[in-house]
Amino acid sequence: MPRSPRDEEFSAFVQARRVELLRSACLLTAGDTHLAEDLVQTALARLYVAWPRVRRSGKQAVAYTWRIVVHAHIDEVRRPRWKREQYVAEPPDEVGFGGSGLSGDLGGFDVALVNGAAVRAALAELAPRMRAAVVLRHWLDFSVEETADLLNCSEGTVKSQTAKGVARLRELLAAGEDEDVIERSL
Amino acid sequence: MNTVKDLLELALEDGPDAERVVDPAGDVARGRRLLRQRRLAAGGGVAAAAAVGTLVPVILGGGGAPSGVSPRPSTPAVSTTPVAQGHRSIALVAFNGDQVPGYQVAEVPSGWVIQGGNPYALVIAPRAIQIRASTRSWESWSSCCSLGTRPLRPRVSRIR
Repeated sequence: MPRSPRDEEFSAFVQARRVELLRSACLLTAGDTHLAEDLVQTALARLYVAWPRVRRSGKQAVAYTWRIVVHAHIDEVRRPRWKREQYVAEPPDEVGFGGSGLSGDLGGFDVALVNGAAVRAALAELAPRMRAAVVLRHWLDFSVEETADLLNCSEGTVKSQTAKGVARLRELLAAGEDEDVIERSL
Repeated sequence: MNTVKDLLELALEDGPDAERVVDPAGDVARGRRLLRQRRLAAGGGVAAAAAVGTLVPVILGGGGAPSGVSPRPSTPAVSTTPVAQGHRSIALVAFNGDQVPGYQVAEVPSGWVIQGGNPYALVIAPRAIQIRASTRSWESWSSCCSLGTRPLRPRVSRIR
């Protein structure tokens, strides 16, 4: 099939941005790579449709794509099937603090004891919009104004959600570290 | 040092490779398909509007029904022929193989086995289809026959 100028431009955008989109979407989904791939595919398909409108500037296309990813994710986790719970006699031991990680301090716990699985588990505990605010502000470096526009909320809400999200991450990671220390001492 | 950013980077340690080469063909194909669907839907809307525009004068025309049109609302024809449902029953058998940590599978379709899993997805496929270990990475699973689920919040009917 002959490639149109839309195909050419869109392909160049995908090649330049897809990995970054997918990695960031993985943070939004707290490590669920399948859901992240679904979100990115959905967003890029819609971007292709809207390409003539949004292609004028690369930044506009990125912001448009992020808007779709964020809202598709929030819609996805609101669906009832996510609310079903499965009862198990013993909860799976998913969080592990003890792998090699970062050195430094994040206020209240030693990040050297934190590994990726622990961070993903802590991210999963945040509400979707709060997680989105943290990812947009701290990972993608969007401004408060841009984040508010993407999330359709006020700048004050972005600030409070981001601050609460980071504080909650600290709390969860510190609690996990304490549990790990207790476990290792037994 | 922005420690929040570093933490988020750490969360991606097993995630998508930042240096991965991207083939945009799949995204272009999905985009084209969606564009076609949107155009068809838009065309269908115009056609429906045209049909309504044609039918309304006929129905509201007064002076009796036009020839060939029954004056009374017709009842829909009910077929007495049984409709073949085309359903095939799937025999479930007890699963005695190795369980994937975090899941407890009691039954699988006959001839199917568990071929792998992680905290987000469980791959169950016919025994004849051996999903290679190399394709069990997160990147390739989306193209495999996998039943996406979560250990505590299962997602059902997510066949890929």
